[in-house]
Amino acid sequence: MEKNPYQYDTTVQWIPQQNQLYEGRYVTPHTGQLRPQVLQNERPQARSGNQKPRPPEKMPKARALALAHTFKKWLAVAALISFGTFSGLVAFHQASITTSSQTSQTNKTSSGSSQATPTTSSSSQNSSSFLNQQGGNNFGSSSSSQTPVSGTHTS
Amino acid sequence: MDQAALRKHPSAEPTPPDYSIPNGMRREEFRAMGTTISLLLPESQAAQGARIVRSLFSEWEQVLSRFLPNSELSQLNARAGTPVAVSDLLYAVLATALTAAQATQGVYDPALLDQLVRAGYDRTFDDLPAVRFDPIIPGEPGGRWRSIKVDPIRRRVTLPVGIKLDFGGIAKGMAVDAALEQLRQNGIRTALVNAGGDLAVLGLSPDAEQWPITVPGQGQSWTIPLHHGAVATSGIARRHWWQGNTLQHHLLDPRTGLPAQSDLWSVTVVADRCVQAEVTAKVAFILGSKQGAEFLRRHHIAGLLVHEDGTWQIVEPWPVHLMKEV
Repeated sequence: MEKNPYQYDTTVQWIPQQNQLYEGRYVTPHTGQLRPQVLQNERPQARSGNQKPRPPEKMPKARALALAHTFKKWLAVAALISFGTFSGLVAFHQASITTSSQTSQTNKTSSGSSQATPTTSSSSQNSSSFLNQQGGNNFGSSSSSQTPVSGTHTS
Repeated sequence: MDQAALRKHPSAEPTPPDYSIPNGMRREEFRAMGTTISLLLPESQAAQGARIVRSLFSEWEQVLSRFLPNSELSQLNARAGTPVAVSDLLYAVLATALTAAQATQGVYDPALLDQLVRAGYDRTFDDLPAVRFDPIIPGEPGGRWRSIKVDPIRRRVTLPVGIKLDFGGIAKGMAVDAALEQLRQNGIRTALVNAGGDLAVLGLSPDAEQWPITVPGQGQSWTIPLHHGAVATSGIARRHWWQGNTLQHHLLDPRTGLPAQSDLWSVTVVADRCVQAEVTAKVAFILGSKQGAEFLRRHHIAGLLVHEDGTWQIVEPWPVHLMKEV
């Protein structure tokens, strides 16, 4: 007797997404039936008992060389593309760092003399962190009885 | 605003109160970037430290002054429209200025030099007459810093035709930070650098838990205990002039290209770095008391906002309970 297609198997709960993984097994939403996960190499092979497997045909040397040549050519192209992509990413990353994070840290020259050349630093600020404060306040904890040592005024 | 008072003291640097010198330290002073640079350094390292800071400020001024026709900045401004290779220093200051402009949604605008000149600030402030009689030229809104092209790899900058850069305050703030960093790299662990009111400290002076610093109000001033970081004040008490009967000052509102019509007299800000304090004080002043306070609050930056009428408000964590009237 043919099964009514509108009769759902209620043993497995319906999940409203195509082929949703359910406890390691796939469930088809329309029928609610379990579809066993069968791997290709587990499929039963139709093979007669007296038939021996044929040995694989040997590839001609010329064909093999041609394939190897093609493979090397594509390998070289892929290496070039990878190198270009990597270089581009490095350059872009460098550009991002230098545009978004600038600091006025100063360097010492190798001779030890002071130099007012600022360097860029990735640990510095971008526009969103330019105004960031490290937290805590910058003030002392007591009202000072000392006379002031310096002062700010409108600049 | 007390117009009589403004006319009476158009350009004088504020008279410094009797500042004390902490034990074991020495004060050094020199002129650079159109202002007085004041240092507090350990006695044993004062000469070395002063030499380092003087050299730094001198170099920065040579590169970044808009008043020196041969400065790198002037050369860059003169070549708008063409790509110009710039030094690491100019590049770093420009990049920081653009970052600051972006972070403040353009309220800080480093590309308003033409507007500043049109408003009358066309020479060093020391040379600026208290009253000018040139006609007032309408302002042109800013915002064109967004069109500046920067090539970070080759360090090339292209200014759009018609705009010029002015790094005034931000360069001073960065120079203070750079000076302290350089002192630290040279083994000096305690210092104060004050560039015309933009100051920052390194470490603590011997036997002290804080640096007592004066901050200005209108007709009064206070001492606050600074433990670390930087202080800067923006306002119109000093850099202002009259053009006919109109009061002009150097804090331009990029929305109009004209001196900001603020209800504030000054804004003092305490931040981790001097460049932050410089920029945020200026931005808060331009925005006015309400929006300026909101801006500081949003970024957790302590501020003292002095209104035109002399009243004041604070933005936490400003230590109002530790303010001591001088």
